[in-house]
Amino acid sequence: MTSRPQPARILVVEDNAADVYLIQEALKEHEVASSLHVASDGRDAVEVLMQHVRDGELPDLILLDLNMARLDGKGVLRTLRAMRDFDSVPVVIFTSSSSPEDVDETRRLGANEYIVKPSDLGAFMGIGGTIKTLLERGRGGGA
Amino acid sequence: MFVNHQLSDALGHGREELEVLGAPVPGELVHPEDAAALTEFRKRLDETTDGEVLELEYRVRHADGSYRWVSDRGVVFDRTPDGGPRQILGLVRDVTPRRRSEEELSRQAAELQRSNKDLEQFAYVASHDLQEPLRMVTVYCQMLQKRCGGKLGEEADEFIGFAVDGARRMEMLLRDLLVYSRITGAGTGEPSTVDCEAVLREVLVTLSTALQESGAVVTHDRLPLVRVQEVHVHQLLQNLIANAIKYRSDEPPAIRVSARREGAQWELAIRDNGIGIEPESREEVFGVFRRLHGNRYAGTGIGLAICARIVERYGGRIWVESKPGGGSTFRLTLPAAEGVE
Repeated sequence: MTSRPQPARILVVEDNAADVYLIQEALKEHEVASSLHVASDGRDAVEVLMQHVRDGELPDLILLDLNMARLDGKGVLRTLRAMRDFDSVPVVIFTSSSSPEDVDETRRLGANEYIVKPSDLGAFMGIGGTIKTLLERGRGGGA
Repeated sequence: MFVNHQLSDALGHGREELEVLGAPVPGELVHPEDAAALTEFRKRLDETTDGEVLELEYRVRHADGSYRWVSDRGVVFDRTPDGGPRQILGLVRDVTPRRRSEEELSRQAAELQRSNKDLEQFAYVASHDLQEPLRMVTVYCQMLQKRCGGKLGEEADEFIGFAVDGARRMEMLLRDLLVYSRITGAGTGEPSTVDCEAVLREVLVTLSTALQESGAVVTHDRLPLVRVQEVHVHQLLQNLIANAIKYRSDEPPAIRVSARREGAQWELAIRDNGIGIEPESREEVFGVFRRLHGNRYAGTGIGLAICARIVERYGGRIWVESKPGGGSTFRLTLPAAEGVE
């Protein structure tokens, strides 16, 4: 008897609804069974993460935009690293910034992947594949 | 003490008046900010060796209350037995017009520098900040094409196609403008010793598809070491070789990259057997977004402007020798890595 895997819990920290829609499409295209929680800015994201810790239910992956109001992506990343609870949760930076400083700093802060949001639909859909690979790696490593 | 009439005319004070005041340019008429320099000048003049001429420019109050710039040249030509000056020959000329045009020039230069900097900053911010909303337009036009293509009628499909093309083209323009504005912007990296030959090898790999498709053959001299940022050599060679392929004649492109030492510079030449450039367009090709052939060739028309800006950044120059139908040779100079040989 085979059991369907639990949908992956993904926290999407993204203030642009148009991008959230595309991310959902990309996950569908790559057949990633997921339940998405969307935080529309950094402060919102930190509150959601605190709640995860209280509930003892961590997300399987965090997709994080950098340029956001209130608290930006790097702020979220610093908070994550300070909390320690999320050390094993992969973080994918998904941003329109291609600045080498942003790439370096987020890597230092422990981000697993850095992807510049593509302006080609086909390429954008690729984020679904990246997420799928990271989730599978996480599952394989944990088993 | 004798004062000639040119000086008295220039200052608007009568000769007698100046002679009574006891110095060719009386201290009380000198601009307060220049007084100390004049005192120092006169002191140094007393200490000069015979025949040595000293010169100072300072402001003197005209009879109408305005200040005039004068050039004061002095030489001691007779001394007392104890070595002090007995006779000083002083030539005081009104240099106000020259000083004013110099001031105007330097004001204009500063203004130009500031406005260039503003423009650079503007180009950077505009191209950078416009990319994000444009990405939305591009991606969602593509989404419309993907989801609704063939469902809204032929005309709608065509409209969507135009929108997709327009957005894609604007994206290329913005990306190129960003590259262009970054060449001279602050914090863009430091020059290092770069092996042009190694960069050429990388460029040929990058362009391998275009090289194969066109049947192009690239040959080269032993290429030198230059002192610039590596990314700039890359951009130069890639743009110039890509152009040589793009603007080819009916023959497969034959491209030759050569180098010649010119003092502290290396002159690189990229010669092709392409369609060539009309004499009247040889300057124009280096302008931003200049395209001589309309939409017949793909691209934004910024490649050569990028090349020119890179070369100028290092104090070099770029030019083209060409005749229509007879190929083109682009020449550019870059600082040699090891200085003057």
